[in-house]
Amino acid sequence: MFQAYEALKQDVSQFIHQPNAGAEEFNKQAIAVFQFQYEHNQTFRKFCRKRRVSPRTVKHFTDIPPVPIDAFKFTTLSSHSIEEAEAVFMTSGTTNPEKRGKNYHRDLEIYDLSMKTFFKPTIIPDVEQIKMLVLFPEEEAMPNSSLAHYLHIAKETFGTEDSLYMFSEHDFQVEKLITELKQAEKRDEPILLIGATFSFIHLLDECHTRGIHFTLPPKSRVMDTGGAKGRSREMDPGELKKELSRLFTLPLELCLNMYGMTELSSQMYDGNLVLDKCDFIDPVKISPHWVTTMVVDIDTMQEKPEGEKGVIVHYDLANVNSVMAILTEDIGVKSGNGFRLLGRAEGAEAKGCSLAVEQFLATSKSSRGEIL
Amino acid sequence: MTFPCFHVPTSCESMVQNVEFQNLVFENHGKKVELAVPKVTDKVMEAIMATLKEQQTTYLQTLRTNDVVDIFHKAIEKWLDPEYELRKKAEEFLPIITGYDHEMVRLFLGRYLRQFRKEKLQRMIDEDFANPLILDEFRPRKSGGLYRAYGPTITTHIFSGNVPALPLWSLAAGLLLKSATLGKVSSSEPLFPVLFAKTISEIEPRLGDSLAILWWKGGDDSIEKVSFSLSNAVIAYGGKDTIESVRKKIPTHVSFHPHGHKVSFGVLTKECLQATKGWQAAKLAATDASWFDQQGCLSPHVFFVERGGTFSPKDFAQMLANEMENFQQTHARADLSDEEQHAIVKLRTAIEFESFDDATVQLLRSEQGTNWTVIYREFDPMKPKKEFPFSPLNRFVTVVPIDQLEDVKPYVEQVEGFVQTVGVGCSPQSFSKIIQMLGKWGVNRICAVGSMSHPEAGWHHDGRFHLADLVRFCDVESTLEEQMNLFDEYRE
Repeated sequence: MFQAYEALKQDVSQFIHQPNAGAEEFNKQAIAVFQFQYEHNQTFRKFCRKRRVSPRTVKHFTDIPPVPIDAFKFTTLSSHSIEEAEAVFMTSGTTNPEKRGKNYHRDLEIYDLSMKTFFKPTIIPDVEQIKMLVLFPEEEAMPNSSLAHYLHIAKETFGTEDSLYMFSEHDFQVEKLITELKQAEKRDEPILLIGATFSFIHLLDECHTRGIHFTLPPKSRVMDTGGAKGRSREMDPGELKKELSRLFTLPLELCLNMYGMTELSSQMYDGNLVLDKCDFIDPVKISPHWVTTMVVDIDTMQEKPEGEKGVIVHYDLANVNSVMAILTEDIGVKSGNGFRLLGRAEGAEAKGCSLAVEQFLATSKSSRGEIL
Repeated sequence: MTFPCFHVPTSCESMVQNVEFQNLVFENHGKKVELAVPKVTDKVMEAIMATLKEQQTTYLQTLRTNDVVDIFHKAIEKWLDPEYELRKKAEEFLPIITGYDHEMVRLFLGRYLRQFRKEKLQRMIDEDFANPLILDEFRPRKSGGLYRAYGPTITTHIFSGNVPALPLWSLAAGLLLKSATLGKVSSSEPLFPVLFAKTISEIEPRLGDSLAILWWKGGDDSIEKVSFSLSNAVIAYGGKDTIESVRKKIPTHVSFHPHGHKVSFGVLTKECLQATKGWQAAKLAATDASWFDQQGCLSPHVFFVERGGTFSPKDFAQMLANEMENFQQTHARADLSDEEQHAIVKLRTAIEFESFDDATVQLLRSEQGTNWTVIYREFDPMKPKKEFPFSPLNRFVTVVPIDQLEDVKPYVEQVEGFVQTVGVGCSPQSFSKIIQMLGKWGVNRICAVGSMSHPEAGWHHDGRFHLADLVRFCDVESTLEEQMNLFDEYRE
């Protein structure tokens, strides 16, 4: 088992290092990851057997049934015993704090490699290192946050020595950030503001109230991720880009967004700095070559033609320990080499007067007597 | 294909023709239909309301209830003719609009429309009024004096679009009470009420002129302000949000009759699971759970099945699954939105992974896609809370085995005040016990399993009077009747 795992990691790592790998190689590698997971991840094996899928029947990686992300909440999806896991990343549990999705990682070797390999070309292709101001708590404060770990690796690998966290424990230090930004304006060194979308929205609101505005040095940039998560007001992603570009006096092109999920081990980014042509307000997201992102019809699980909306599925080879095929709850469309996110498939409101569960849960007992 | 979709009194037609129109587009079964609906302004709405009021006072009020019954009956007769133009139109377009299976819509229309024949309408009236003549004139009260019942001058109906033709219940109630009608159709099914109003106009244009059926975007403040404040009663169907939003806008002088969201379920005793009866029961249950894709508030979320029959409740779940598949073969479920699909996939996922470690839970599902889902879930005596197994709808139903009828109680308590219909399968020996229990638990309609979606004429929708709740009585007391003799000029 240990050998098989080490060998698999080595293969995946090699694959990540081959930017020119073609579809055939991806398929081969995907099937290898699947075989490993089928053999060692008991829950996943049951899931496959229910669907009459086994290594014998999988010829193409699309034959692998993607696991709905909700499953990470209800069961353990791990090829190693969870005691062996070096890290467990949990979802924020915004909808139900008792049921948080858990992604177990035997170790973070591939995770880190994946992070570093794709961050460079998509966020900082033009600079080796950059001063980072991190708008998120440190890893120690949030040991189960994949984003905290991601930002830690980003800062360690690509941040200059004077990079800083703008959080003390769990508190956003907005004053400190404003002071830092004012100082940054006076220097000629570019900075990268990187962190949670809701912190950026707080910053925007704060600066708006106080009438503050910055002119950041050339090549400075912004990367937000994660959305408002109910921790700030909601903002349309395009609108956020425009506001951020205005606040920091940055070209729109350098206002970037990362799309990641606790259930995955790789990230997707706006194609601004990679694609020849890109709409900077509503850019397509691109996946690294070790991730295949597809838009499928959730009823038939068949791929949708380009431009038609459907549910997003990721085949992430870096997700070695849990499951590599993930059925998300995100609605999107395929567009050229990337995809566009259109929103989340929230529980649908029933058309009629039959009581659906969400509506029931939302109904307080006090209103009962009023319904005739 | 684009069709205008509205009905207003003749004198308002040219005015409405001049407002801006909007197209509601529907695509299902590979076909597309566009319905052009006028975007009425509050000024236009005011004029329509004035016309309705005028029409009610000068014409509708002068009719006798039986006249209305006759006109309505003639309209139903027309609709029961499969060759009737508007019926054909409804049969063609309703499946495209709603996505429901053609054959199901066709069968439903026939069965449903028969509920509005003369005798049924009369039953509807007699159910609520010991002396129906009070709707036409002052009649003597048994306790002395006289009384008469008046319907609202104008009733505004907020129809829901989950089941086609459903607005007929409400429409009939208003007209039988000689109330002029403003109907707001739903974006998900705006056609049927318009077509039916056209039929009324064909038979009696003056009654047709007492009706307006329009679409506006639910929640439109200025339109709703005008229409609600100029009405005497508002009847609304829909989910919590719709009802709450409407409620807030109703002035105190207008009576409000909300029909909010509800749940229904089924109960089968062990006698239904005897050798020859089991399949029959499963078929009836599958019909209830599949009819109109479970969108009606009369559709079951769960069946409680008693142990001790030849077939176990677990067998029954499998049989139900087979029958759900059979129903799918003959009446395919509508295509769902991504959100609706997702609700099913999410719940299936949770249950599937639960079932890996728990043999008391089982997931049975259509081979293809999300067409139907049957969950088998045993009553867990260890769990302190018996969660009512809500369905995300669209043919998703749970089977819960029980040892005795009392086991259902903790589940019902979860949804107390929200229970609509219980479909029952039982033998004559348990009949009395079952109805007494269910009645006590707050259920307001009990019917045979297999008939859940087809309430009978005269039913008490949500446990209330269908017509009597809408009227205002005028009592003339016996004191006056006696005392007036005192002032009689001709008195000896």
